[in-house]
Amino acid sequence: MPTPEGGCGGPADRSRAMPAADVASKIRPETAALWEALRDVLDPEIPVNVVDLGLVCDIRRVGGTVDVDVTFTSTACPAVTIIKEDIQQRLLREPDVETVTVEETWEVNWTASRISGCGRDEMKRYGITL
Amino acid sequence: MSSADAILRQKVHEGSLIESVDEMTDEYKRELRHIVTVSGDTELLSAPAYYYAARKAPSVNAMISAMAIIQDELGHAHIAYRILEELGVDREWLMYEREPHEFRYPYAFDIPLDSWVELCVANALYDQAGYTLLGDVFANTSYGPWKRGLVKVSKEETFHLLHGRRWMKRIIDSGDEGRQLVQDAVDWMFPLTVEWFGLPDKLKTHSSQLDYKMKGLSNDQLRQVWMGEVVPFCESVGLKVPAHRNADDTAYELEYDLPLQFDAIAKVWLWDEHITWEQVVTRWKGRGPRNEGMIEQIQRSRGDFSWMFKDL
Repeated sequence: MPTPEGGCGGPADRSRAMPAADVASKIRPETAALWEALRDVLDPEIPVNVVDLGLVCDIRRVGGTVDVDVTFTSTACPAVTIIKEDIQQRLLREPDVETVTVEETWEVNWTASRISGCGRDEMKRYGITL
Repeated sequence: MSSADAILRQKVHEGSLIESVDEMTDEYKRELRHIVTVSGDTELLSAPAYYYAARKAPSVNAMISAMAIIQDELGHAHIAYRILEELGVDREWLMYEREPHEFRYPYAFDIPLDSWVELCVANALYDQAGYTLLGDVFANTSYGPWKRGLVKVSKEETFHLLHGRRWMKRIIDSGDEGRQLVQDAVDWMFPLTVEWFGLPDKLKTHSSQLDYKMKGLSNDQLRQVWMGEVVPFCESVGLKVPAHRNADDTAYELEYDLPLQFDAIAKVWLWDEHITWEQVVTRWKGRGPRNEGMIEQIQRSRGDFSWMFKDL
């Protein structure tokens, strides 16, 4: 697994690197590699990737077509466009992925419980307390 | 220089941080007030400068991003003004009682940003200048409270830069017309940001701010850091900028002789009209077209809202 600049991914304590329970429950074998790929995509303001921050809600794949549902930490998140673009660009680099559609979903209510253990560690390191 | 000043200078150059007014000499306090005022005023004035263009946002999402940036900038000004309060400067006076020409911020903000394209180029060029200056302060400053306050500022400015660069690329990728709009904005904003860093070192031979380690790099060094970020980015998206690496690849050099005359109304540089730095300083001090309007916009928030009802 690549280790993004944000630091999550690959620490000795694997349980700290696991996505939070709400996120992990959505990972299926056919999309596991895509979830891992999205750990390369950092939030532009907080140096934590979008999986560990709990922004990615679901990934569905049929052949080369991928649909991603994302939520944001607030409805007025200023980074919506950048994050959606980054997710799309990153997944298009995965083998046999031809089209990627990223949609916002507000059905998933983002709370801090969606942040993984290593995401929390990263935020703490940068001086952000939860 | 008093012996107290000499001791303080030695102390900060050995790595000590100054944490309270009690530890400062009068000269240190005077210089610190000056540099933090420039920093706070720059953050404050970027808000109305950016708001002017944010009104042209092409979508609700784009407007939200611009407003978040403006809100960040006001927060950064608040941090600087809070520090100035510690240094005995009255915040009400800072905000509401100074005349427009008494605010200390880069001349660039006095030139109207008339479009969304110009706002995005400002985010990429002006915010990069702010990031360069404050990044140096963060790394080197001898004043502890300012150093800690800048942790938040630098994270937020990173987003502003990214916002500007992404939008520039999007607009360029939209086709020739978009590319030309971005190039036109870069053509007048690049040299303005080069000026942002102040007089060249050969003319500014002494800096008390460096003596007291309020910052770490000279004007020319900061200009180089800025060009080191901006020139490669512009080249990567196919934009032309009047600067390149020198022959021995040790620094960036400008493709024109500083300083130049600028037509603030037409927003064009008069490339053949060379002036002196004294004339540039006179232009800066005379302020530009948006100075009074922006200060009026800020100061009308003091509590007298009668202006709101004039047009009802």
